[in-house]
Amino acid sequence: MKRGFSKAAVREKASSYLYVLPALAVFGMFIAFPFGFAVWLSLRSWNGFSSLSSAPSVGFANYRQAFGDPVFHRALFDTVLFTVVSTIVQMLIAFVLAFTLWYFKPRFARALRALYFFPAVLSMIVVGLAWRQLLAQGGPIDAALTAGHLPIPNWLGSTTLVMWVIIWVSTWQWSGWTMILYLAGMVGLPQDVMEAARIDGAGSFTMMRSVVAPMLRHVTALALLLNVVGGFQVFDTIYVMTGGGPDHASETLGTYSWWVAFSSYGPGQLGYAASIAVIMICALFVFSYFRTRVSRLV
Amino acid sequence: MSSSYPAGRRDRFGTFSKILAVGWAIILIYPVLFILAMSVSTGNEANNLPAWLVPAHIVWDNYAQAFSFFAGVVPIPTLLANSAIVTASAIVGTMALAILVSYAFATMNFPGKRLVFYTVLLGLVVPIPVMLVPEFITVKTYGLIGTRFSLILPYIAFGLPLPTLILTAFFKELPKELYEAAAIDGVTRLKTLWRIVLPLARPALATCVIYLGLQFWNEFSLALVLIQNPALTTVPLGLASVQGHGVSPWQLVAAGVVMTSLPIVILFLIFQRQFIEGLMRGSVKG
Repeated sequence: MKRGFSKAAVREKASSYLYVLPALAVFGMFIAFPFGFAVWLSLRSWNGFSSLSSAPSVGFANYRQAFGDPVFHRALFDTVLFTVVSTIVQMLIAFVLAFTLWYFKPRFARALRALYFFPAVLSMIVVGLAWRQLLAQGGPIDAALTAGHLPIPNWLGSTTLVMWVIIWVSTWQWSGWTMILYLAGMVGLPQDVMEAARIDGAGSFTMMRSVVAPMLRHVTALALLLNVVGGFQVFDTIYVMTGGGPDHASETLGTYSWWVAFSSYGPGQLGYAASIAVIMICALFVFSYFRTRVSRLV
Repeated sequence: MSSSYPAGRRDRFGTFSKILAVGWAIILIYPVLFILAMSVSTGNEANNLPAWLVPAHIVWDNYAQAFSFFAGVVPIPTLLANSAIVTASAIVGTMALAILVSYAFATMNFPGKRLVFYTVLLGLVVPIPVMLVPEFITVKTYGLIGTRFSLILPYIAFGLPLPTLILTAFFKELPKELYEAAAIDGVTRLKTLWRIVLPLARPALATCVIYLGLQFWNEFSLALVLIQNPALTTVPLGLASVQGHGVSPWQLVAAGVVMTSLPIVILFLIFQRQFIEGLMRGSVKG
């Protein structure tokens, strides 16, 4: 095709930008600018009340504070723990549930599918409140443990247990969503491969592990990306269940930066909170960059 | 299920997975029943429900009481209206921008296209919770605090990446002849999009709307910092703010949870096939 430099062609090319401009403007105003602002703010000391223009520049002091802050270390560790464990457990549960519905076709498969997805429709606030009260002292879980003469852990009051409870609640809510991804992949699988494996005498576990799972590697990659990005975003569940406590034991980077900046019990250091945001976003960029590099290699 | 593949033979793993399927269903239903049970318990019993969850006295009046209890913070109808307005506006805004930008990515060539595409997708990895501080100050600088736009515009920005991904993939799959024929007939690009492409894209559009609807309706952290005017409180924020730590009347909070969750739960029950199959379609394309 001849490359047109006519007036009409130029005008058409230029008008292409009109299609992308609105999206770019909103993105620039509400994501790029705040991020740039966070970088700028992370080099200042600001309590949120004095005028922003007079906030003193402190160099990299906020970053140094982060690296020496035990609560930041704890929040970083908990964020990674939450992301890794909830991603793996959710994907395992989701995969087996999807395989069960698709391969064995139990009665009421469609109703079960809807039920498994149902928690994803609820807000994390509702789910967090429900679990908080379920596990509260004197609640039904306590009653069941008492009836069975079992010890009653202080689910949300124990610094060692609380993060695992949060991980469980998130798994409870989101496994069904990941299951949908796997089901979508399974419906499109070529049936002759399955038929061949079955004629070779493959049992259902072998079928799942050695035939279906490898063919769904692209779904696993997608689910992994979505779960890791989602895992780093954990906030609502913790806010409503523990507020990051007890003693910062369920603090993640999201809740900690909120606490540092906004909580009435926190220090009100907005510059420090901004430096936490910058550290985390840089870490996620690096992760997604390497993930796309790795997936290109595979 | 929709595939015609014959049901697998049951063996030991088959039994295990059947038990898991039923067990997981019970695990999912139990907390839901718990909320329902709390919402009809007396104040004392709401904090001491037995493991089988059946309260000794059923108190339907809790629902009426919850209305006045919430009215002391934000009335339930206001919460629902706020969430509906914000969700609907943000969906319309996001879809309009995503459709235009995806159409450009899929059918047009212009310098900087790849750069713009990846820039928009970057929004996918920017975690909202750590952006709360800069987002709040930015929105305040724009003078939007106290208006609904303080929430709607950031929702559009953070909502854009996924629909853009899904729609770009969908528009690219449409036959090229479609666009060329329209161009030869002298139909402008915008008209082609509106009259020819969008009607064909209805399933993909539905997927995006469902996804965005769930995301916006349930969004909490941005609402927490950006809503400074109590009259604009959305449902998740309202629920989080009525539960004072420790002394809340839980039977009333539970009744409020049930009433405010009802719209989306009913929508889901009616359209569950469209919800789930729409999201399944989206995930294969994306």
